[in-house]
Formats: sequence, C-alpha cells, structure tokens
Amino acid sequence: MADNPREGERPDEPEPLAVDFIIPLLACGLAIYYLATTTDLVWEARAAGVAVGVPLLLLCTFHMARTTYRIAQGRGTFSAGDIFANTLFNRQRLVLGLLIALFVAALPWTGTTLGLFLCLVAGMWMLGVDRITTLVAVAGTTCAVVYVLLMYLVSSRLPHGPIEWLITWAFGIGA
Amino acid sequence: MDVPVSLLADLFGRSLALWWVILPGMILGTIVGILPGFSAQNTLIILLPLTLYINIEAGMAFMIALYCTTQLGGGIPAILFNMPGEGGAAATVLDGYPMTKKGQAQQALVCCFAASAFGGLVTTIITVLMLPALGQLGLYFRSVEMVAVMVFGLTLIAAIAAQDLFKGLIAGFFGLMIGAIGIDPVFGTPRATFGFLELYDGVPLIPALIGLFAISEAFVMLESETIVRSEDLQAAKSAKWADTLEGLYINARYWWQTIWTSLIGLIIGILPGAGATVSAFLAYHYSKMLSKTPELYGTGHPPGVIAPESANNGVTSGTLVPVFALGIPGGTTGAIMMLVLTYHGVVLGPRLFIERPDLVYSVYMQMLVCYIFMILLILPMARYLSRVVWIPTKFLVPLILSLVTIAAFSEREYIFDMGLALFFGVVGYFARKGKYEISAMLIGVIMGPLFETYFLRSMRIGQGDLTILFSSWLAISIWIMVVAALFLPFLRQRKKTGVLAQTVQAGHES
Repeated sequence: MADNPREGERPDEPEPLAVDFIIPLLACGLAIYYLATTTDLVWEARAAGVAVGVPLLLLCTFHMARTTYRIAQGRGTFSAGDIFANTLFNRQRLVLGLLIALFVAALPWTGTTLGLFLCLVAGMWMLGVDRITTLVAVAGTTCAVVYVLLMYLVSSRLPHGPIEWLITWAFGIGA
Repeated sequence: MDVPVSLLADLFGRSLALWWVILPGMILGTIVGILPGFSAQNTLIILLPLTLYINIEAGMAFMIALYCTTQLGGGIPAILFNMPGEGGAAATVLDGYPMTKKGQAQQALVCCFAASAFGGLVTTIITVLMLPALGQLGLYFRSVEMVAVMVFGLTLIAAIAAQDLFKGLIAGFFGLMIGAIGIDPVFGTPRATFGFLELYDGVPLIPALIGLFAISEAFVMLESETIVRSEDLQAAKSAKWADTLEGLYINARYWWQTIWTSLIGLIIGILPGAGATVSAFLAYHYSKMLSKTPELYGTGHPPGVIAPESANNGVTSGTLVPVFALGIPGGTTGAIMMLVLTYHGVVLGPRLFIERPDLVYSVYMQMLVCYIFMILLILPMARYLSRVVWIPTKFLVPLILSLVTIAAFSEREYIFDMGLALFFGVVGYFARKGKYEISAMLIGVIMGPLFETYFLRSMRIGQGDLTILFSSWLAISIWIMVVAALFLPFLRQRKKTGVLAQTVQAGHES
C-alpha cells in the first residue's frame, strides 16, 4: 500500500461537490419509484410512503438546488474529487468489493469455509501481504474459528461445500 | 412505582453468574477501544451471529460489557499516543497526552480508568433508581405521541450529530423510506420491492446495519497503512506501572467532579444523536469553566482527563433509556442492542416496564457488575492489551469485510442478505464521503416499520385527518420541540461562541 497521505485533501481548491448529489439522487430515485408503484393501492398502503416520500423529495430538491447554487457561485466544483479517480485506494476498494460479491455469489458451490479462505487470501494478497505462510495461517485460523463457532457450535445454516463435506466424512460432525 | 429491591438483588446475583461472558466482553471492549477506527458498534456487528444465538441474557451481558469497556479503552491511545481510540475519548487527549509528555502516563491512565469505572457506576445506579418513573411513560405515549417522538428523534440526530441539517434530514428520511419497503401491514401488497421476494418482509435490519457501518468503514480504513504510526508505538513501550497508586490518589481527590461530569454524560446519552463525543467535550468545558485553576487545563491537568472520561462512560447508561422507554434507539449501539432484543421477541417501548421489568433491570444490573469487574481488572489488563495497535490494515480490512458479510447471513439465513449488506456498504461509503449522517439513515431504516404502524394507527383513529397528530398537549409539545431542533443548527451558526457550538464543532473535528 502507498505511504502517501489521505486522498482528497486539497484545502486551496474549491470543494468538489458532485459527491453531494449521490445520496439525494438515490433517495429521490427510491421515493419516486415507491410513490409511482403504489399509486393504485389503497390509502392505508400509501400513507406512510407519502408522509415520508414527499418531504424527502422536497428536502433533496432543496439541497441539490443549494449545492448547484454553491457551484455556480464558484465555492465548489461539479467534480467528484478523488472518489471515482483512478487511484490505488479506489482500485483496492473496487477489487475488494468485487471479491466480496464473488465470495457471496460462489458461496453455494464453494461453501463457507473454502469461500472465506479464498476471499481472505485474495484480499490480503491484494493489499500487500505476500508471504504464503502468513496468508495461509491468518486465513486458515479465521476459517477454523468461523467453522467451529458458527457452523459447529451455533449450528448456523451457512452454506456447506467441499471442506464441510470432507469434515463430515472424516469426523462425522457438522452434517 | 417503587424500586423492586428483591428483584434487583436477584438480578445482581444472576449478572454475577454471567462473568463468563462479561469478562471476554470486557477484554474485547478494551482492545476495540484502543484501536482507532474500530468501534463498539462494528465489533458488535461482527459478533452478531453469536449474540443472536446465545440466550438473550448472556447476549445482552456480553454486548453491555463490550460497550462499556470500549469507552474506557478509547482513553488509552488518547493518553499514550495523542490519538483517541473512540470519538468519546477525543477530549481526553487535551490533557491526557500532555500528562504523558510530562512523564505522567501511568497517572493519566489510572485517572482515565478510575473516572470511567466510577462514572459509569454512579450513572448506572442513578438510572436504576429512575427506571420506575420511566415506566410511567407508558401511560402517556400513544400512537399520536409516538409519531411525534420518532420525528423528533430523527430531527435531533440531524441537528446535533450531522454537520449539515439538510444532509442529516435527508439521511434520516432516506432511512425511513428504505424502512417502508415491503408488504403493507393491512392488505399485504408488496411496495417498492424491486421484484425481490426477499424484500417482502421489508429490508432486513442486520444487513443494513452491517453495510452502512462496518463495510463502509472498512472501505475507508484501507486508506491508512497501519492504524498507529511506528514512532507512536515506541512511546507506548516505555509506559510503566510505578505511578499507579498516585493516579488513584489523584482520582480520589476529584471524586465530586467524577460524579457531576458523569451526570452530564447520562443526560446527553438519553438524547438521540448526541453521544459520547459531545458529552465528553461538554464535561471538559464545564470542568474548566468551574475550575479555580482553568489555566492549567491543556497542560496536563488530571481533571482534564477525569471529566471527559467519566462523562463518556455516563453516556453508556443513558443510551439504553430511549431504547427501553420508547423503543427508539438514541444511537448506533442502542440500535444494535434493540435489534438483538427484538430478534428475541422482546417488544420495546413504554409497556416494557410493565410487562418485562426484570429484563430492563437485568440489563442495568449487568452494567453494574461490568463496572465492578472493571474496577478490579482493568488496571492490570490495559498495559498489555495496548499492543494490539500493531495490527496493520492489510490484515484487518479483508478480515472485517469477510466476517461481517458472513454476519449478514445470521438474521434470516438468506445469501441474498449478504449481497444486500454489500449494497448498503457502497451506499454507506458514498454517504460517508458526502458527509451524510449514516447513523440517522440507520435509525430511519429501523424506525420505518414502527413509524408506519403508529402513523397508520393514528390515521385510522383520526379517520384520515392529519390534525390527529396535534390532538394532545404532549404531542403538541413534542412537535414544538421538533421545530426547536430544526432551528438549533441556525442558532449554533449565529452564536459560534456558545458552549454547544464549541463542543459539537470540537466533536466533528475530532
């Protein structure tokens, strides 16, 4: 990982304000979708949605108008700053997010223990841990703790895969 | 209603018997408190599968031990490295670190521990004595008042915790909107479910919590290579035990200050949105203002450590009051505990004091036992546990991400929920970057279904007439407080020299 200071700290430049729009746009999207898809329902089913959605739309509109005004005044820019820039941290975030998504998607086939092991090894390796013994030890210990605590002791229904089947076959536990 | 002394004695004995979960919770809480960027909330989230599966009494004891000790642990790096482990310890650095630089690290640590433990003990006892009065709330708060209380809670969070009122309100209402997803409670018609059957029961709270807090924080955490710089670690290694007794003597001299600053923490803890950071800065400010030697503050003066530490532990007792009394969490930790309680079928709100007084009292007895253990154990533990700050983020981030994703499975045992947690993680990350208050968003998500229930009930009583929401003096008073809370940030801006303005600002900057 790089040693440089935190990204996004440029006190002399106008504040990048595009990131201010993300949450209001998501909120407006949900409110509009909610209100549009419930128009045919009886008033009881719509009441809370309207009571929350309408003020939410007003708040978001006002806030976005205010932010646009600040940009027009030159106190901010319509830039997203470093949030979508091609930086090391953003690439790491993206890869970690994809890794977790892949871990979740592959869980029915890999099972929890193997999936977690692979996800941890890949994540730590990507962040700069390159000693194989360390990778295997940390990931292996974590997987063992998760298996013993959640799957064996607590009997959680986390998906089973090759490792869990192997343990069941070898020791007759965790079936 | 009187304080049930025999019940309390019985519960105290049962709480003592839970030492096997309280002690691990305390050890973990100390570690979590020491680690900057790690919070009690995130640890509770990671350990949710465990707390959901063990029985409710043991689960709550574990969470309470962890939460109370975290506030204490946060003072350790604040004193040794000038780096608060928790927001609540941000004010501790003002005098704690100068004490370390003067060679009084041990005294500062002992002041911090003793003030935390005694402050927490005092406020827990006061809260237990107050509980019967809180039980009377059930007679006054009906659907109409509860709608007003919920709006008031969200508004306060937006006004106090968020830096920008509009962003705070948007986050809170966005949360309420998310909470309104799912089938309607009267006819069972799906609303805004995006075609997912898994959302028919509404947005599951645990994946939302995990995503908004833990995953988004892990995404931010990877920007630092290690949690503590190596040169600060060298300073920690030189800490010794020789001055422990002197630290205890200093603390005993300021016993009255410990009591009244912890009461500030208790009151602030009851208010939604304020929390440990604001209470610690307020306590520090008033301690300095009322001191005969205010010029010594900031130079390594022991009361400058005692005041914020007793206040931030006073918050722990107050945080649970709105959860029990109104069924509304005052902060994230309260929200997590509320989730665990509701998972176990506990109906929170004013009637809890009538129907399950044993549960409410048992939680506070567990807190009392935890503080007693803390007095006995925390001194020998702290020195060695402070070494956990060495763990680099290249290990922590993948561990947190993968473990919390697994924790998302625990509530309903759907793989869908793990993906949902990741989605909320991305939303939480953008919210953090845009400085939207994610605790307001989470509390909105939690209160969404409750809001709908109380709102619909009010509307039915009023036959669709909105003026029913203003039909009682209590409701009108709460609505007036909502309006007052909306004006609070403007007053704060106009009067930048005010105590609240300074403390809140200091809290945001920490």
